[in-house]
Amino acid sequence: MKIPPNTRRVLLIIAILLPLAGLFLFTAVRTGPLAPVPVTLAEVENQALTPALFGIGTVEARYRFKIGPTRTGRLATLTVDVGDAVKKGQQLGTLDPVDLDARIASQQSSLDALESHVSMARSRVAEAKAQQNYAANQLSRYRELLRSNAVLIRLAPGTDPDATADAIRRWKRLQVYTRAEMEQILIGKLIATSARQIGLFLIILAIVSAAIVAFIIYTMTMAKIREIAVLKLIGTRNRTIAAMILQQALGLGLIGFAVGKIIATAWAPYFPKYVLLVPGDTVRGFIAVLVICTLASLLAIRIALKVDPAEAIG
Amino acid sequence: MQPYGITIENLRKRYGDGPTAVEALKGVDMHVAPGEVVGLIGPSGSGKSTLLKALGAVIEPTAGRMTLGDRVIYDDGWKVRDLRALRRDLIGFVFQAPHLIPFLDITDNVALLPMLAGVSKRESRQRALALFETLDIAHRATAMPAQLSGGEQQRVAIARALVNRPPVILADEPTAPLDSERAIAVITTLNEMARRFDTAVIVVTHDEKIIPTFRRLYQIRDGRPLEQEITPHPPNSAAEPAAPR
Ligand SMILES: Nc1ncnc2c1ncn2[C@@H]1O[C@H](COP(=O)(O)OP(=O)(O)OP(=O)(O)O)[C@@H](O)[C@H]1O
Ligand SMILES: [Mg+2]
Repeated sequence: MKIPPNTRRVLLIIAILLPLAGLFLFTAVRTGPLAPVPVTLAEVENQALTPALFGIGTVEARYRFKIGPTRTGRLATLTVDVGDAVKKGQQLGTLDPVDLDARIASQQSSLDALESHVSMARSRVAEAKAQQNYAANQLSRYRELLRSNAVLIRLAPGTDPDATADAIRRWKRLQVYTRAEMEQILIGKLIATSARQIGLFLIILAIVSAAIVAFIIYTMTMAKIREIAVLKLIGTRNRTIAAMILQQALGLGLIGFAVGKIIATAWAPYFPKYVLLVPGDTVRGFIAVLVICTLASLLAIRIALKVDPAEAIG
Repeated sequence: MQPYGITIENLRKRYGDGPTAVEALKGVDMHVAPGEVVGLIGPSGSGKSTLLKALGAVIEPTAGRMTLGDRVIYDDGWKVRDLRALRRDLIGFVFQAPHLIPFLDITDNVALLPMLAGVSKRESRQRALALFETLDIAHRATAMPAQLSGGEQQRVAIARALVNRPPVILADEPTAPLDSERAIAVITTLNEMARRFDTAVIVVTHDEKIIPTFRRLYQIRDGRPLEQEITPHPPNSAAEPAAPR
């Protein structure tokens, strides 16, 4: 069987159209407004919290007094110790007048002070490590959360949603929305995003369909160059020829519009998401179709007007 | 010489300029009387198409004079301003292929021309139907072009050429795709119509089958026509099969 060139052209157009439509559907269902929102379902568990306070401290005297002998000598006896309470006039010890011992003692006390500094620094390191652990934990948890856009929490009966939300907010530092808040967000932000996405799809669709109509009208015109030359030869005005082409383009658009409108009306109830069909949109769509078809026919009209009537002869 | 019909005097056409210029018509003189059908033959490249385009007012001759009916079209560089309207009013065209508009039925195909000239749709369709009676295709008046045979389509094309009652019909190989019986029928129809409507008809052809049917034949050679009388074949004997030459 031999396929006539006209059918071949239609087949070619369908061959271009089908993958485009498929691609459009795929993107619409996978990433577009129709895509499911990824949700992780988690049960709330009842577990005992063991409150624990962790910290490292140092004890230091509130007042420190340095006492020193007026003469150098060795400390013979010492009757008090660090931390002991002393009274005014109490004898703390006796000096053997050799200063070496005293020096040793004073070195010792500064060594003690330094050691206490070291232990303080150690405790700071430990604290920082603990903080780092906490941050790493948070990081991995947020990564997890990022991967799943949202976690849906089902409350055990009788639990107060607001209180739970508050608790999670305070303890987990997460965004928490109760059902009521979520509905607000859906209506506001989510629908606005969807509207933008759908708008983008519509613009792409409009461009694609304009290209297709232009292509069809163009090939139809190219196939009739000879007839157009004849029309010009027998005295047809350019205006009339342009009108004929425009008429064809608009006819094509009207057929497409009618088919689309009927399909939309018939299928809307079976669509996975609720489809609202407003008369205003129909009117706007109709006007868009007419504008697109008019624009699409311009190229073909330009070519038709350039045809030389002499081409009809010889 | 009859006052009307087709008259060309010293018609010249040069394509291009300078050393590459082609002198396609080198001073052609020709007259076709109203009601007469003449043939125009010649070898390839002799200038047949060029002459037909000049006669059809789609190319402008370099020099010379041309009158169609009672109108002067070209006169040594002067030309009619609105050639489009002139083609519509003075010239009927018949082509090798019928070139009918595929999405109009044959009545509308023919009625299109008077409508282009400003005649009402009703009146235009009536004129088309009257011609269909004459051409014996009235019973197919509502058919689409694709539903007709080649010979019938060519008769519709003749109706389209005649419907504005032009003083001139130019036919470009009108019988090429037809068998000899139908080819002769087409020429016979053209003869009848020419006499009935006082139309001057020029038929460009290569077609051996129909050459004997012309009473007068112009043979163009290298841009200049030589006139040949072909006898004894009056137009009304044309319906009979032509004897081989
Ligand atoms: N547009 C053009 N530009 C330049 N030369 C041309 C043009 N049209 C025709 N010619 C030349 O003019 C001469 C006559 O051409 P024309 O087409 O009139 O021949 P023809 O008799 O119709 O030939 P054929 O029987 O092959 O159709 C040829 O030499 C051709 O090459
Ligand atoms: Mg030719």
